[in-house]
Amino acid sequence: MAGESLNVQVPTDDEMTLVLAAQGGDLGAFERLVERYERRLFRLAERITGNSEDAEDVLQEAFLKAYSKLAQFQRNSRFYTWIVRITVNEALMRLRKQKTGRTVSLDEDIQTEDGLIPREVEDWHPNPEQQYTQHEVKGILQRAIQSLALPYRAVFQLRDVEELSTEETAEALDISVPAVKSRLLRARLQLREKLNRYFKKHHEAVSV
Amino acid sequence: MKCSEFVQEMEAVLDPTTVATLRAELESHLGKCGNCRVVVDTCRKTISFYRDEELQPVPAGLRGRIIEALAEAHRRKP
Repeated sequence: MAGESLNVQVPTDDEMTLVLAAQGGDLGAFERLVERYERRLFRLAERITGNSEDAEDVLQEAFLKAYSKLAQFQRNSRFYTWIVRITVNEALMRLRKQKTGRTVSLDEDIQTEDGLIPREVEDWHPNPEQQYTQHEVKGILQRAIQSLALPYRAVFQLRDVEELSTEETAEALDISVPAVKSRLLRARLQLREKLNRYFKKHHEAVSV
Repeated sequence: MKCSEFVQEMEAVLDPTTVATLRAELESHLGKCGNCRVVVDTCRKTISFYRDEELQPVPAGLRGRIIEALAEAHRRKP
């Protein structure tokens, strides 16, 4: 499940054809790449910046930067991984501009035992939609992931949601493979703990 | 295997490419430990919640602005 390749969800068969055409000056081919990845990249930018207004700017800047640097794209990696990395960098730059004086980094030393040992162990209701409306579930999920520290949030989003491989995630975030694995474990456990409050079986629905 | 050791290796349970010997050791612990079974199961559900969320269209007008900006960049390319 979690180890499956991104290829399952994002077709790559003609990705390289489009990239080659775009590198040869075909703007229409690049626009096809925009259409293909805009929704995933917008969601990624929104998850990192925390709001849709910044995500819009990030997405535009990321595509512009990718287009201007297209000649530098090495074909030994996938275009999607490359543009994910550009999008992550643009999103981080935007956060840094907003938080002058505060560190915004994916390299923070966050190796603690916090969140590693599950505090509450209780099975969840089989169908949360019976406890909460679809809108409420969406809000719960959104708030839970946004409350994760950025290094965890970014790894979870790329690895578990976008289904990049461990190596692709490491490449996109410019961190080591062991760091991806360690942060992914902590991200999953922390998210589980946050959602547990709402979805555990023997509990009345929590007001959201 | 202790629960704390199991949690450290939990990634391997969720990853289908895990080597058989480690998988067998982890499955053996899961067979005896209800708490770890719940943790693995709720972690799987956590991943599914986010993975299965429907992708929303980008905000209205955004693609148009991107295409326009790209066209401008294309015109300026040497």
